[in-house]
Amino acid sequence: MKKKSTTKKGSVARRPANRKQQRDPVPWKAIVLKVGLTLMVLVGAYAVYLDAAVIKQFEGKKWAIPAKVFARPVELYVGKKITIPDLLAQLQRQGYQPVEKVSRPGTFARNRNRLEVYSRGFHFPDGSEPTRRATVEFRNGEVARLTGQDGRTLPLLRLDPQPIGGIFPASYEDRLLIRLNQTPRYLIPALLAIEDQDFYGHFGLSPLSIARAALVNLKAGEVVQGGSTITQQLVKNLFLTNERSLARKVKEAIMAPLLELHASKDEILETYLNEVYLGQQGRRAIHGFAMASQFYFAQPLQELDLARTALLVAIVKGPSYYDPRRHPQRALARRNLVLDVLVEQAIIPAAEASRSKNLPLGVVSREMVSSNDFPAYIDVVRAQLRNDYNEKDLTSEGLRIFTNLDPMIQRKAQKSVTDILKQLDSQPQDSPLQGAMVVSSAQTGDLLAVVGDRNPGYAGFNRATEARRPVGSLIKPAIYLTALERPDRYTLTTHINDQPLKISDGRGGYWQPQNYSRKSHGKVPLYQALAKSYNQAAAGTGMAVGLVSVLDTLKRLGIEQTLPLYPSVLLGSSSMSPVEITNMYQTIASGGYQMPLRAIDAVVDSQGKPLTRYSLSVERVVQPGPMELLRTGLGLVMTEGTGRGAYQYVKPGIALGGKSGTTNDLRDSWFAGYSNDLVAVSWVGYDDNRPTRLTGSSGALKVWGHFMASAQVQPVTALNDSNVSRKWVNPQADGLSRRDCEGARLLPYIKGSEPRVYRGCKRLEKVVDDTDGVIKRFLEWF
Amino acid sequence: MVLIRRFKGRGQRSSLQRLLLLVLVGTVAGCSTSVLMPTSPPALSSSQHHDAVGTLLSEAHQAMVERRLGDAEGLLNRAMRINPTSPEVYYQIALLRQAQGRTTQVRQLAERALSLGPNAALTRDIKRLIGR
Repeated sequence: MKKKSTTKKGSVARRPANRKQQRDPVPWKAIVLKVGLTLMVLVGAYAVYLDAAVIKQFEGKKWAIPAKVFARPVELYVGKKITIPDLLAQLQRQGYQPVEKVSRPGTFARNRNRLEVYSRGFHFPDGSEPTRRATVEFRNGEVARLTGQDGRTLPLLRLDPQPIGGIFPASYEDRLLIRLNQTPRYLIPALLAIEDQDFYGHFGLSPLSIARAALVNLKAGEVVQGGSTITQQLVKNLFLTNERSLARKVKEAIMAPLLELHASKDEILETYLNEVYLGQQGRRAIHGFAMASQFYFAQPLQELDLARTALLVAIVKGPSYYDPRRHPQRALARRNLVLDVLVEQAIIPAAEASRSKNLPLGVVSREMVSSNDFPAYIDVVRAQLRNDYNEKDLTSEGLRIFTNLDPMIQRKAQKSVTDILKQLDSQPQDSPLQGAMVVSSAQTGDLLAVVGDRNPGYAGFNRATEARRPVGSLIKPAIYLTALERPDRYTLTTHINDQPLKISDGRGGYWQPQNYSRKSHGKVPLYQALAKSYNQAAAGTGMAVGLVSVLDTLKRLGIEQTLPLYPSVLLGSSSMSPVEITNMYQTIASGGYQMPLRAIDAVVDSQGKPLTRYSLSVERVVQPGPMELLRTGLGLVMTEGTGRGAYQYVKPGIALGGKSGTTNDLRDSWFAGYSNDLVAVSWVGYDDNRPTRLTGSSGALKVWGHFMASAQVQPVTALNDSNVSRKWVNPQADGLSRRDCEGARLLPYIKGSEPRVYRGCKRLEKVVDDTDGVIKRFLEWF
Repeated sequence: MVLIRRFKGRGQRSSLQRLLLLVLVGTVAGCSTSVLMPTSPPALSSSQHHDAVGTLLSEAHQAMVERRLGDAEGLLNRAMRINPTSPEVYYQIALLRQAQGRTTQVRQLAERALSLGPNAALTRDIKRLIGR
């Protein structure tokens, strides 16, 4: 015990000296174990946390797919008015490839006046259109024959519609979704060969890939391959930022295997194909191969050949650095490098690579695939959609919006505005002369074109919808229509007074309208007052029939805004936009039917299920008799009044109807008119409202005439109405005449209101309007 | 995020049933004078684009018989764009509106068809549709 005690004592006594020795061998193992365990727990917890994030974000991944907006599809049939150059330009804009012999969808071959087209299939709101191979023969600016592949007559050929824009979310990401099995033959092999050769073998990370990439890069003398796997790239794109830090790399390295745990290889690859960033256009970011194919080639991804597929794969590494539009040499070199790698990997034979290397990049111009080529039209579409859909659905649900925009009419309208304004304003200043134009289908109200600026594609102030300007004489048809609806008092040849008048303006003062020429013309036939746009005659007639009645007529014709009950409204002091005026003239062009302008035809969801159809609705608001009389008057505006300048452009035999409008101090120049098939309204003026030195006839009419000539319009035809009879009359005497009399005219009358007394052949129309004199007319065209 | 918009002015069942009944009666009777919707595709009178419009009218007719009213609307719209002054097309749209239960539009469209100079047979059909 003692010993034991001593020993114990001794050992206790020794302890201070030994303690030092014992402290030296630190229990590293234990510490490492503990720290390791702690770290493992922490990393494990972090991995569990990241795993939850991966599951949540990947499995719940739903891209916001912007609504896609389409133009009206080109539809070909015998009798369709279209020229070969117009159709060729449209086909190329839609990415159809010219070939010697057509063999696949999306190609065409021309042989003089014959065009062989292999159309793409498309799912329309009214059903699927199969892909078709057809031959179109043209004669005299129209389709003369249409035959199918079997040589039999084909009644119709509907092409796929041109995409014209999208309604983007705040991120401005644009993409089209594709399935793995929808990709062209070489896309996946080429992508894996360049980006991740071990994709189907690794677990998310690939040390082998890093080593191989280093070797390949060393051999090539530049960075050809990256070491990151497709899974890592996807993780980075989906969950992480672009920040170059170790922390991000670690996160990526943990998340990539986690993603592999939860998703199959094909799911990862398909997501990558749709996610990858491949280009930029302004704020719009191009994501996924399908959108990139449209963006660079205006073609569906499935149609891409080897060379184009290789280019898309080449761009993945750096969409900005290898931008084929800005840096074509770099892009070409890298595309060819991709082709070389494909040969090395025995994916394609060398001969095929060398054939593809000889091909140009094939990239279409940025303008051709602009996501917003027709911004003014898209504005109208967007406004209409916002009435019916919420913003989130529009920017994320992949809706497809089928519009009535006719791309050929739209381009012609824009060209007319741009070209004529250049002529009128040869030395544009800081604030140049501006213009706007709206075109609709005369019989159906389909909105075909909207031009909001003289510069094509300008996406700023939209003058067609937002610029409200006094409309001047454009209002006069409403006055004369109100009068002509009272056949007991007014006919086209009723003499009305063009004389000075003084009317209380309703605000304590007087309104004393003047004619443009500052001269009064005395008693003139009603149609002449309309054709020559006499202000005093119009104001007097308006007051005689009643301001309230005229305002009611304007409402019936489609002017929705409430106009003030002031006499000056009779001469167009109220401000309206070109679209509002189009509504009014649409009713006249259709023969008295009011129909809302329709920019959208139908909306379908991402699965192709129709959601809304904007169907035709019509309402007769003017009886055919008075409307036929007014239309006759508006026809005379074109042949002998302020609209006759149109025939400098349009073939003289083609009957048109229309009216010019000029406002105080020549600040606004308007023209509104129609053919049998189209209504068009043009406006020319300055944004700061300074005088233009242009009348309606010397400004807007030129734009209008230029457009109508290029659009190959059809002549206006008379309305059918049993209540109208036509008589040969002597208009200056408001009496009956004979066909063979000089100056006699055949004019329509509501039955019972025809002149009864024969007034013979005397008195030709006197030319009293000196402003419309020959010299003035001549000068107007310079 | 569910979109709740559907076809505007979807047809009322009662009027649709009435229409189908009339079609059936017309078919059984083998005549075309007493039915609102023709049992065979309408013959074209003055259309410049017979084949194109005729084909679309036939397809629209078939779609109406099968109660695919949305498809019929799309097809008739196409026909109208090809020939916007064809009374036959407006008459067919009027029939469609009847199937959709949009009675005010039936009259308006029928009047529009009449204003476009239909032939005698079509005039009779249109007038019968609106009870004139």
